[in-house]
Amino acid sequence: MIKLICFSFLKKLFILKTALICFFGISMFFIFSSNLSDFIGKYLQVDSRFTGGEIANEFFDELDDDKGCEKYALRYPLHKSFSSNSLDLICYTVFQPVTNARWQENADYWQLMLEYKSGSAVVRNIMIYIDVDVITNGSEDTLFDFAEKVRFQKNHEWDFAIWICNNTCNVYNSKKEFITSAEYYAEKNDVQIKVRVPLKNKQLQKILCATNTYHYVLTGAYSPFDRGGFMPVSEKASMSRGGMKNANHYNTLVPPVYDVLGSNAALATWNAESFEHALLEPVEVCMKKKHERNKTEIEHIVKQVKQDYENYMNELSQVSLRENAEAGSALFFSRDVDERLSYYGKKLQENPDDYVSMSCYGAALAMKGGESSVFKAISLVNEAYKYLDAASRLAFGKDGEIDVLMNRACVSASVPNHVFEKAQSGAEDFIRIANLTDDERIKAYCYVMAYECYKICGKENQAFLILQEAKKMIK
Amino acid sequence: MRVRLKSQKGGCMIASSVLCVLMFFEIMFFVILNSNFTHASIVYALFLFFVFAKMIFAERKKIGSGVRYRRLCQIVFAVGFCIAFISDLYQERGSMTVTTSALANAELPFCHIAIPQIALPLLVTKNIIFPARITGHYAAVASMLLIWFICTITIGRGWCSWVCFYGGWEEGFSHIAKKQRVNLLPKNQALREFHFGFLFFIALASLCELACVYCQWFCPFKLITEFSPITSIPTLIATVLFIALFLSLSVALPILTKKRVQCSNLCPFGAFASLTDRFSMFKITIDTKKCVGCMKCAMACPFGAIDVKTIQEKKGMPEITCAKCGECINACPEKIISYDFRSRLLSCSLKSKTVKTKFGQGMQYLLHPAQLFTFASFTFFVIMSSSFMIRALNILANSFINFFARGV
Repeated sequence: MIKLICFSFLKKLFILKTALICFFGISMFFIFSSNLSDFIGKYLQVDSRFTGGEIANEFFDELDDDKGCEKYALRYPLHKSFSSNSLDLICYTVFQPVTNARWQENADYWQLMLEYKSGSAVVRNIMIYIDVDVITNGSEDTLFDFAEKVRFQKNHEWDFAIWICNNTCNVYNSKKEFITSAEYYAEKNDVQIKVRVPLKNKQLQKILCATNTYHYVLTGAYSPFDRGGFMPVSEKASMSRGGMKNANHYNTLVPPVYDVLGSNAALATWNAESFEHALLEPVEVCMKKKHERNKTEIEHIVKQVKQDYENYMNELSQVSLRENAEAGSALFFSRDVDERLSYYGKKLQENPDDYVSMSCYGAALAMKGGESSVFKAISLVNEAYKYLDAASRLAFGKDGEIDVLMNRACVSASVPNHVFEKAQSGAEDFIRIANLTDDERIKAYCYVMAYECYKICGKENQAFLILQEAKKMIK
Repeated sequence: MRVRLKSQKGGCMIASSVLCVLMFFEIMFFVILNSNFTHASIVYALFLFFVFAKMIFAERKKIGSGVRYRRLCQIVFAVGFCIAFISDLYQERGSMTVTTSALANAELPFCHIAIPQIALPLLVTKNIIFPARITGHYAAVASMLLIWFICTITIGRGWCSWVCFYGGWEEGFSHIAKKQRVNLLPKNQALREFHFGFLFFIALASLCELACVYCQWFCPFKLITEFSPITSIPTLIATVLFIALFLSLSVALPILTKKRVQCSNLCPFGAFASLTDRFSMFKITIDTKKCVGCMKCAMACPFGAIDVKTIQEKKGMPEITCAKCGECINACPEKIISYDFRSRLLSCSLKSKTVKTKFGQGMQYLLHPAQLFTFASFTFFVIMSSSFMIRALNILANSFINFFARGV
């Protein structure tokens, strides 16, 4: 009898479960499927032969170093197509050669990827000189004489030159003979340049055996009428010429190269007396090892910077409380949201243009959202952004801009990006704060937070680049 | 079953209304709200609700008669999907051909047919051997895998007969001719074996090649979706194959046989879904005691899942390739074929008791496997089709407006 009752109960339970799945489960699953697919996506990856191969090495170049070098700063040509930072190389990635790839234009290829900060691809003249360790008898001169006005290390003479300009990519050997055209792709609004060198040619197939390769990457302004496509620089910038920031620094030996991978200081090593061109340093790539970003190091940096910042803030709060017993200071560090809201609300009523109070009120609203139910949280955070955005507009270029931006940036970093999509603007706020402040601990914290924001919105390379700035601060 | 349902008229009416109300909210959310109350979404939502209500109330009058609305939905979705998908391709690439850039950036759309091809290589190499986006797109790998998973554990191979946007073409062509010109019934078993053999071949070949072999050489739907540009002799051969396969398997043979030939003989996903169907919640059962062996169900089955042996050996359910389309339920003159729960614990659970109260009758009808399966399948259909259909309706409306504007 008991068995029968249990059986009947179980039956009913199973039917109910099935009915719930059919009536609500499937729809609920689809509602939350984007989160689930993101989660699954972390564990899936497309076969690297389709995507360019395994990464052999990646190099991050300094941001905003597209002005030649410090010794003589260059100016972009005045033509409107040369928008700011369009020649600023930020990342160079070398992949391991791929063989037997399916569905691709070339079954065997070698992929190189360049990432620029912004701008159009047609204004760039990119020259990549590569020394392959298994090939001897390279060339020390540039592909076109007196074009870039640089020379290369004697122990790393180039064997192949890859010339990227005008949406084409051609490969030359050290005898300056054309070998082949390469696949060229300009992606992400021309910011990312992908080159696939086909490895059909016997000379190029030697890359497959290489253990190490050495790369010189030069970026200049493109001109179809000048040697090697490098638009020359003169004392003053014009529509068809780059110029010097300080006309007195002009010399005929100044390389018309705006950015070079690695330190730009090498661009100033020309010698006017001996009439020697600037000597460049290559970057080394180990072709046999798979490159992986050092996650533990990154985690350590992030943790350390955050800890430093927290300690610093604690010190600051204690000093502020000791020295300035004003209610506002105490409230700034207090965790009671309602108290904050009423305090800053009153201050705002007294002075509606008080942008610091406005941003603090916005931040407090967002904090209150964090403690509320989902629907209330959404409306509170949206309300908070009205105050935060208005405060940022009012504070632009004034005292207290850092505090105002910090409030907005912290809110942007903490609200879920898939709902509000604020991570990108959060990163931009943090970077602006880092540029505004002189305090190195705050700078480092801002870079780390910008790194986290960029990571949240899927901009891995931007994130990694910003982290390099934090690293510099720590050093 | 018919007698039982007739006795429950009052309760059934309430249950049918409850089903319609639930579906109304689903359509509201997934179609209208998701598209911000656009005109096209409202039109499509009205169509969906009308079809669902008609289907549910038609089933009440005559069991299995709702199947014609399933056919209508699948055909409409197949056409709408192609319109929306091709317009997407034109927007993204400027043509239907696969570009080198899309290949190099792994941006090809990933469809469910590739799932059985990537499964083995995924287990061996831990990589997806298809140049598609992993996330962030409607045709990304992760989202398609998730859809396949939820489909497998709920409606199983019901996907092929309710949701598959390719199947609709065959569904449509198989109902053009009035008479069946070629009878595949005697060869059903051999064709089923061929289907699984083909799946095995495709899976192994994909593992050896580390590329989706079916997509590269056999997919007939390349003709109505995307195809490789003809740049060499192999691509020319492939294109000729795609055209021939579509015209023969999806047009000519369905017309001649009145069966879904491609789905039941060559689609690797169909065979794969048949194998994984045992994890689903529903199945179709045949009451062998009352079966008179008229074979009308076997003739009606578009997937060749019922043959002479199935009836003679009194298996009590169609063969493994059953896609739960409900054609056999509609065709059976004795009305002894019905949907049931797959679990033995639940199987026939609702047939034992006769309930007297209206509420009880309503609940019994509402929780009947047929209603649950129809609701679940239609939910899948609504969710999968809405975005494509709304886009397709917009495109059609714009072209009509442009056409008439030019005329004026």
